[in-house]
Amino acid sequence: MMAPIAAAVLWMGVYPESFLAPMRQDIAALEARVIRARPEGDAKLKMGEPKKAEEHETAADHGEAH
Amino acid sequence: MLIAMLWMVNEAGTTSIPTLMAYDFDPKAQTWLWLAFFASFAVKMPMWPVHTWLPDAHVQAPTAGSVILAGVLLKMGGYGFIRFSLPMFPEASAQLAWLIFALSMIAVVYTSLVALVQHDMKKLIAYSSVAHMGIVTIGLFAFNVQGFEGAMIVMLSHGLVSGALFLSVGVIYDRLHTREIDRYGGLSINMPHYAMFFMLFTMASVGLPGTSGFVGEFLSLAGIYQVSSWVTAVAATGIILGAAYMLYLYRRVAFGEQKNADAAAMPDLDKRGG
Repeated sequence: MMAPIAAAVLWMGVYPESFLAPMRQDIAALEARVIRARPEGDAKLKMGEPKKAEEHETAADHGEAH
Repeated sequence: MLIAMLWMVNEAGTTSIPTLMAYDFDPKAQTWLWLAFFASFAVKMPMWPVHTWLPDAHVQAPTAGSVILAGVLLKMGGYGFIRFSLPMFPEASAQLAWLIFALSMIAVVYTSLVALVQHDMKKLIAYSSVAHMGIVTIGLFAFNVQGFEGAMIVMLSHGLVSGALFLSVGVIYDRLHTREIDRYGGLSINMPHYAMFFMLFTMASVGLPGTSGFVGEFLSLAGIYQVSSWVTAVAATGIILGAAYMLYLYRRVAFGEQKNADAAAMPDLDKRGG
């Protein structure tokens, strides 16, 4: 009885994507609903922040010109 | 909660959950509605200080009851927050997130310290459940993808791991009819297969990389770090304490001298794992 649970515990630990992928769509929907109320964080994280909309547009225009 | 639900139906004119999830309640009303729902979900999670029913329930329940309680029923509180409180009352959730963080931080540290001094194996695992649920609520109220994913994985992982730990306790309780930690010792000598499984589940509860516990806790902490580094620091302390009480439990049960002749004569797991 314990072997299947042990296998599941290791599977979730080694390859969590198979558990995360099915929940992504629902989590995105939840985030879209609560994002307007998201509190301001005290962590000054900069790496990996998405570019602002205007920057994206400018970059796209620049790319098209070339 | 029922009164709050009746008020919501009167206000929105429907009992449809998807409609209510998209309905924008007045922010002032949201606060009262959120508190009404919180009163129920906090007990169900359970969150400190309304967690006291859980250790007693586990001690009184048979092994199968403890497994269902830890594996399924505790997740209903987290489901309630995800399904109702967060999408229906987002402004109130953000406004009262400090309350969740405060209660969760106390839960993580306090119940971990209480777990350290337990003599009953089931009580120890029950207090560890309260600490893990604290990580869940912290992740949920981080309001970001990492926090949500972390909370969900902690719930999934805890359902498996804590259920398996209660099964492990049930295996030796069936043989010796006691859950007192001091009555055991050196089980790795006469029950090596049992000791191996018990170690894996202990490590998963601690959050060892490569096990399910690590993924959820790491994502939850990554999520909350974007909101509050202080909450992250306190929650991480709970994980260190988690390692202390679980490894202390394992050492006393599986290693050391075989003090009790009855425990030393217990047979190892059979093929069906009993």
